[in-house]
Amino acid sequence: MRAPSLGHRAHFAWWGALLRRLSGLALAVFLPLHFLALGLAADAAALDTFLDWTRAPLVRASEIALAAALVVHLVSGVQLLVQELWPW
Amino acid sequence: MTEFRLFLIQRITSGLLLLMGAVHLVVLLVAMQAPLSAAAILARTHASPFWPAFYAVFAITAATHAALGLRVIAREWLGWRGTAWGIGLWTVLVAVGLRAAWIIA
Repeated sequence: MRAPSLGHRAHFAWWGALLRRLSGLALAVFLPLHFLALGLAADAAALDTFLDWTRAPLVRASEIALAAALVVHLVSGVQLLVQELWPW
Repeated sequence: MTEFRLFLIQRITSGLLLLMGAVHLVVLLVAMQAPLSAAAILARTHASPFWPAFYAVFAITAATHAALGLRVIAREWLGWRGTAWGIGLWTVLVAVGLRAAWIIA
């Protein structure tokens, strides 16, 4: 028998909400860093140095993780929009 | 602003981000045909005033969606109820985003 306090975790929507928040948090942290990185374009040499740095394997790996977070956020966000707006 | 209005703004920005994100993805795929460089990025954004304007609107939309999303997380997980920090966060995100759009213009 499932513990009553864990009942809410049996719901698909609960996991959707958690994944949407976690992926959204990652994307929200990335957003200002992305803006600041683009701001380096004020000095083309500084941006090129930064772009060289992004070719490091660890940065590439975090870019893949970020793309995965974006896909998760997008899919669960579209699912939520359809759920709320579609005339069922 | 009422909770309902904030909820509506979050849903409207999500729809806008879907559309503008699709455009951004196409730009990204085209840009990645060659190694990324400052010259290539600036050549693209300088080609037409459309791009800095597009990215300014995109940045404001993303900043608004992110700030409202972080507000939800802060309320649910940390119990933060205040509004000042949320408005402050939104202002900083919009400012940094518009600064980037201005620099690539």
